[in-house]
Amino acid sequence: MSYLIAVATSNARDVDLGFGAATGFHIYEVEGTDYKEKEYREFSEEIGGAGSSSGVNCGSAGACGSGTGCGGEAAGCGGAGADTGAETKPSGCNGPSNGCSGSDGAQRKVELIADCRSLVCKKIGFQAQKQLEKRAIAGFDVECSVDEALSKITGYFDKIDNHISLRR
Amino acid sequence: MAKLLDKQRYKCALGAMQTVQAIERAIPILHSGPGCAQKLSDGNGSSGYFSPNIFPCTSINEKDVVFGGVKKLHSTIDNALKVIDADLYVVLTGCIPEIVGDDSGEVVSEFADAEKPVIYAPTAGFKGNNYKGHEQIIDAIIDQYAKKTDKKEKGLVNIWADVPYQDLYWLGNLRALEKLIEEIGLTPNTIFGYQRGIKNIDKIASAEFNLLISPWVSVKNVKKMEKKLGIPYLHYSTLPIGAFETSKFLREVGKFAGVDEKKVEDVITQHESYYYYLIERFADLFLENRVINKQFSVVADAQYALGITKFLTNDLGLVPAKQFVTDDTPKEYREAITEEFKKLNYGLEAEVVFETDGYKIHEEIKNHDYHGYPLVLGGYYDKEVTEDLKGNFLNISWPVKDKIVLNDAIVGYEGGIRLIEDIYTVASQRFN
Repeated sequence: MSYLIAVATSNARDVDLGFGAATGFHIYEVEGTDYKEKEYREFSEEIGGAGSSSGVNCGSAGACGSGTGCGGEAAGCGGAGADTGAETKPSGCNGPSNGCSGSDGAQRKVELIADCRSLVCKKIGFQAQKQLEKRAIAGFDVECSVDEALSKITGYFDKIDNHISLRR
Repeated sequence: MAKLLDKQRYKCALGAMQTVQAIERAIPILHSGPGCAQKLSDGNGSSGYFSPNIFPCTSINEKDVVFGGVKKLHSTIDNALKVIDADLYVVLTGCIPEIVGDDSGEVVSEFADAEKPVIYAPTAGFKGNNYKGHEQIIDAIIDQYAKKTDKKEKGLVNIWADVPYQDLYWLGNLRALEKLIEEIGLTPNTIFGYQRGIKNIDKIASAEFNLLISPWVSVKNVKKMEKKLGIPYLHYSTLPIGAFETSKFLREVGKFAGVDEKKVEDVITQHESYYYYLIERFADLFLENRVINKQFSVVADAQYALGITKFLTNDLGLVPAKQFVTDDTPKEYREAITEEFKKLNYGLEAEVVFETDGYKIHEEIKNHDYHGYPLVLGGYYDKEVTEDLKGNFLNISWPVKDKIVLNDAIVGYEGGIRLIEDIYTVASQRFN
C-alpha cells in the first residue's frame, strides 16, 4: 500500500530546510521502495490565524493577536521559535497576527502533512517533534540529498512492513 | 513456538559496562538506546566517581536506525574525551547499532591518536549475556590496548576470577585471592577495584602467567593472552572456599609457579590451624544444627555453584542435592563442569543441571526430597520457594536483595568461615 513522505527542501534535491523555516513541503508518494514526487504543498501562514479552530492551544490567542502580546515571545514562545528555526527566523512566532503560535504554528504545519507517514527536514524542534509523534509521523532531521533520505527511509519502512530483519 | 524465560539470572552482554566500571577511572561509552545503562545497573555499590547515570550514551533512536548512528558515536566519544577525566574509555555497542551495522570499530579507530586510550567491545545482547560481555571487555583490552613484551616480571601473576557486580563478592574475593597468592611468595596483579586500574592493566603483559579461577568465564581470554601476549595460564576451575579447597588450590598454584613446597605447606598449616580452631569451637553448634539441613542446593552461576558445592560437601559435611547452574554456560564447557561436580570427598557426587529458567528450577526444588528442610543458597528469586518449604535460604548469587556486601569475601580460608557464619546465622535464627 502506498504512503506519503513530506520533505522540506528548497530545491527538491537536498534536504536543506528546517521544519520551522519550510514554507511548504514536497510530497512524495511511495510504493514499496519506489518513490515519485506527487505534489508541493504550500504552508499558508494566513490560514486560520488566531481565530482558527487550531488556536485552542493558545488560550490568549486573542490578546497576542493584537500584535503586541508577542513582542517578547522570544522568551514566552521561544520554545518553538528556537527549536523550529532559530538560525533562520523564529517563524513559529512571528507570523502576522498569529499570536503565540509556539506549538500552534507547528501544529498547523503538521496538520498540513497529517496524511504523510514521515517527514524529512534539516532540523525539527521539540514542539514540532511532539506534534509529529502525536500523529504517528516519523520525523527525520537529516542533512543529505533527498534521494539518499528517501531511499534509506523507504528501505527501512519496506523492511518493517514486511517483517524483514534490519540486519545488514 | 515462542518461549518464555522465567527469572533469568543474568543480563545482556551490555551489562558488561559494569566490568568496565569496576576498573578504576575507566568509563564505558554506550552506543545504545537511551535507558540501557539505567536498566543494567545494579543498585548497590555502583555509585561513585563514575556511575551508570552519567555514562556517556549515544541514545540512538529511529533516525539512527535508518541513517546510521556513527556520526553520533563519533561526537559522543569526542565530547566524552573532552568533559570526562578518565584513564580508559571503552565503547560498548548495544543491540540496535549492531543489528543495523554501525561500524563502531571504525569510529573508535579514528581516536587512535587521542591522548587517552579508547577501545571498543561489541556487546550486543543477542551475542550473549553479561558473562560473555565480560569476556568481550577483557578481549578488547588484550586486542586493542595490551602490548606484548619480553620483559617478564618474576613471580607476577595476573588473577582472573569473578565477574564484577554480577558477583556480589567480586571485590572481596579478588583481594582475598591476591592475599593468598602473595603469601606463597608470588606477586598478584588484578585490574578491578580500588587502586588497580590502568597501571595494573599495563602490567598484564609482563606477568609470568595468568591464573584463571573460574569454570568457564574468561577461558577464551587467557587462551587469547597466551597466543597474543605469550603468557601461559593455569586454569583452575573451582573457586576455593574453605580449608580443603583452598589448601588444594595453593598447592596446585605453588606447583605450577615452581614455588618451594615447604613455603606453601607452611602457609597452609598456619591457615588450617586457625581455621580448624574456629571450627572446633563451634563443633557443638554444627552438630546440633545438623538436623536442620541434611541436603542443600546451590542456584548460582557455575563459579559459585561449583565452589560452594565443594565447600559445603568437603568442609561442612553436607550432602548435595541437585545443583543448578544458571549462567547459560556455553555447551562446550558443560561436560567438564559436570565432571568437576563429581569430584567431591567421601565418595560423593553432585548432580548438576544447567538451567536458566527459574520456574523449572523451583519445580525441581519443590519436587526433591531433601530429607528434611532444604538449605538453598541462591538468588533472591529462590527465597520464597525455600521459605515455602520451611528451608534455610542464603542470598549468594544474582539477584541480590537480601544482603549488602561492601568488601566481604567467601574465598579462601576466611571466606569459608564467613560463609559458615552466614549459613549458621540463618539456621540459628529460626530458633529465636
